Amino acid sequence: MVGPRLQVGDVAPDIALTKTTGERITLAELLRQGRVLLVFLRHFG
Amino acid sequence: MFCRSELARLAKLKPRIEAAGAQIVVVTMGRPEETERFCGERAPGVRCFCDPEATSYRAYGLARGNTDQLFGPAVWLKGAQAALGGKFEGLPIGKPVGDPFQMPGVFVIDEDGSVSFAYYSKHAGDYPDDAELLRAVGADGQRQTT
Repeated sequence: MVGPRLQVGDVAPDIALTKTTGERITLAELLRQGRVLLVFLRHFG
Repeated sequence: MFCRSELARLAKLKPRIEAAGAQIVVVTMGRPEETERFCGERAPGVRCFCDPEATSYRAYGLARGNTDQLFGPAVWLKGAQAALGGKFEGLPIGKPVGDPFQMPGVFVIDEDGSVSFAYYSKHAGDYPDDAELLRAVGADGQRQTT
């Protein structure tokens, strides 16, 4: 299920991502280090 | 090919983006070892993260594209422009990693967790241009909110 498109001013969904080392990290944790430019890429190969 | 071009561009803009106080967080649909290899080759120093299930894509309202968005004239034109502009990063090699229909997007999230920039790609090769991206993170001295 795809969520609604986000608008400026919306609260960003707090996603959990996996580092290339295998550890998990949340957006909230990343934001403690400053604002985030979040780039979702297409497939690669 | 667009993901390769986008990664290379982010690596080029990284000093200006970070000087503006923003951190680059790239999300791929690869597994950790695939993502580390791909990003390490294409954009050393840019932090890449993995979401093979694309859960975060869906949370941000990023849908799967239709045929026109993925293979339409605008996509071919963008590819040709990239090639002519010397930004062509090579054809894909081997089996694609991730859902080939998944559309990309770019966001800026402020420290308080609010969205200050949201860009939903109109087609597979559509990303904000350099000026728009730098404005979005305040790297040009101004913040843009779209």
